[in-house]
Amino acid sequence: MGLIHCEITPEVLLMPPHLDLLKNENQGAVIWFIGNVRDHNEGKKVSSVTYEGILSLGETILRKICSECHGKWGDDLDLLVVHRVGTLVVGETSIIVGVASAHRNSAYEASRYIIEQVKLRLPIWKKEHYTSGEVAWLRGNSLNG
Amino acid sequence: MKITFQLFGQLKDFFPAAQFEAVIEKEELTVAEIKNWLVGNAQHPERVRELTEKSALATASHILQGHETIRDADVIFVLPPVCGG
Repeated sequence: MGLIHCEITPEVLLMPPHLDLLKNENQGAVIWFIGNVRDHNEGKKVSSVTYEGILSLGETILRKICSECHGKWGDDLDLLVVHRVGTLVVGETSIIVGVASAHRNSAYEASRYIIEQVKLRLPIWKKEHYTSGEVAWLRGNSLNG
Repeated sequence: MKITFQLFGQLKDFFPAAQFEAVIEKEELTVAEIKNWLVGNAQHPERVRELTEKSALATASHILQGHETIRDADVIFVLPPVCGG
């Protein structure tokens, strides 16, 4: 069974400690997706984004998404998803998704699956702060099914 | 029954506090009844109705399905539409 590492954290996300978690001689392909706070959205200049989430339920859902990846692409995949909460300024990293696989196809596909499911299902909410001083909660996806 | 509600995201803008306790005179509540109660007790019911209808209810361990009922719950999380990533 491959590694599953899921975390929602207020800590700053840095790559080096996470890179080491997916080092495995069985895996020939490693894909990293890094999501950063962008300086604009829908024509407005963004200064920072506040991410709010439920740690316990969120990590449970992340583990479920990763288990689905094992079902779809094989349980030898090593998977890492770390999402940050708190207020992040432009350029800071909000999410890291790492997938290590024996072959590249499953690594690419699983990586894309995880980030799309995170956007659809993870209980996280974003409040954008604009350079104008305005703030706005972003619209999202209903979990009602 | 006594329920502690924990609100998230934009829903917090419509209630006096992000977390509050409510005593509701019923032994059992459906998801729809809890949402109706929330709308009725919001600061601007007409503005929060659609957001509440789109919201999911959850315990610490799972998201409640529409057919589930609540008898005793320490905390009910009220989750408006999500946008992680």
